[in-house]
Amino acid sequence: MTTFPTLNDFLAEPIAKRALLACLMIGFSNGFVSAFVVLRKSALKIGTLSHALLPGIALAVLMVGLTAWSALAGAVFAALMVGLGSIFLSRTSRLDQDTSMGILYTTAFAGGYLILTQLNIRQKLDEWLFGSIVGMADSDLWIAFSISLIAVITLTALQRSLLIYLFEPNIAASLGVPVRFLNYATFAITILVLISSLQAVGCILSVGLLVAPAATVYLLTDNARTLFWGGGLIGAFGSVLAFFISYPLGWSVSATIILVLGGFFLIAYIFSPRYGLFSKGRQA
Amino acid sequence: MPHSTPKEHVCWGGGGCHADHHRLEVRDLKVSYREVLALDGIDFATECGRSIALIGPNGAGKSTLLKTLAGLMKADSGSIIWRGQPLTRSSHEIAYLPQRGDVDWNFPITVRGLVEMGRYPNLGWWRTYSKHDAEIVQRALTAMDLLDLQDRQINALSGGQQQRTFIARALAQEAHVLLLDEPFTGLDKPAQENLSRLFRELTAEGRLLIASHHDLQTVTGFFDDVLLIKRTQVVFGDVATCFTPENVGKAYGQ
Repeated sequence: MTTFPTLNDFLAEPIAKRALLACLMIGFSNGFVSAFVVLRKSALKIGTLSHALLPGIALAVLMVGLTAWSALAGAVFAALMVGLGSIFLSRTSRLDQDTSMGILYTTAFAGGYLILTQLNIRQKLDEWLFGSIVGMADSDLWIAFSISLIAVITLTALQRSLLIYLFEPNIAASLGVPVRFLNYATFAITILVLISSLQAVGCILSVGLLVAPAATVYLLTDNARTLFWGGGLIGAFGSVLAFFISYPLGWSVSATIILVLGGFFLIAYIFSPRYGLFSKGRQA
Repeated sequence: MPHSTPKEHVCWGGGGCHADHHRLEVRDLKVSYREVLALDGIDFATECGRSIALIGPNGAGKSTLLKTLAGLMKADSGSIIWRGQPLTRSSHEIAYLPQRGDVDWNFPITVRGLVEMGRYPNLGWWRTYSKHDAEIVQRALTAMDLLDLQDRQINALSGGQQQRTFIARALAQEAHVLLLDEPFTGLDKPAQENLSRLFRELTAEGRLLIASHHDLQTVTGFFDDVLLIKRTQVVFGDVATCFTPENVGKAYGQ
């Protein structure tokens, strides 16, 4: 029973309140967008992008010092460079886009890592690699909040077009769905959300936050729309739960978030009434 | 006279009655895919109420032609004229139905949900789904005999039911022209017969069907006309006169 007073004391600290809020918001927005990632089947691409962001952030830190906005600008820049660079490489050589991306993002990541180590900000480096949800400032929270709002509003407004596009791009184009616009819009949102998850859990674990929530719901529902809100709720609930689990145990919050979400997924994988391991009328 | 064009053209779903026949003209079409010439000299004209088998060996450009007609690929030169107007962008009057194998059937959506996608040209991303839309979707489901299956997940459908769901989506779109990529592939005999019967119903109510097809045995039974291609056009015309061993040999031979 001794943990409760200390937990209360801890929650009275502004830093803990901020961390809790961050878990809630970042968990929700990442979970919401994970529906798109799962339906698009682009989990690996997200992993690539999240690593590609590191050099951009490193460069921004090198040039203008570390602020939330410089990190954001650097991240967007890096994502565009690697994203567009891989398209350019594949068009101008015989390599396919996956291969080009594989080369570009690892090279970029290595460069970014070296810059950050040279800058003598060891602690900051760890934060970008593994997240710093506990150390978020008010400005970070506002950024996370704005990103969540933009992601949820845009994806909800575009949902009808988006679902047709995700189902079959050719059908979508033949129906007059603005496929190219959706490509750009969803790319922009993915980058924004990645930045918030990068702050929370770091570039190594961010894929988990952007895949696991909707992957869990995918095993529980037959409704694509449920995937978005369900993913958001699972993401938020899992992150908040992880916050409370990690505190008394002294675990890293970011690692605990991913572990909890992985646990949720495992439970759904085994026990889902329709698509679980033990369900009777199992459909492949 | 088995395949005469209907005297009065009633476009189902649109509610309109068109005395003038809807005519599709393809003039000297040339299409490249990644700088490789995929189609050259495709030139034919047809009108609503016909079903056309698009026949040719692998790599002959069948899918490319369907995609170009659907507005998914740009032609290098030549023109596609639909109802007297050049077709330059996607139109709700022209529906594209991909090969069943190209679709992710695990996508979480029901039969009704997929058919409702056909209302998109009318709704855009923001208009509310109205009673009128619901009625049209209901008619499309009824016409394809899918009412009992409307709440079923698309991954729990048979091949024939999947194809019917696709057609129902095209009907909900109020399409006049249906471009189908290998609709008979992977269906068993009864499902093929059933689909062939639906094709005849669709053409009888004034729709134009163009379908790529690879089973040479069934062409005569399933289609009115044939378009034989091997990158260039070998022949176009009604099955009885044009689908001859000689012409097939030209398309498939060296």
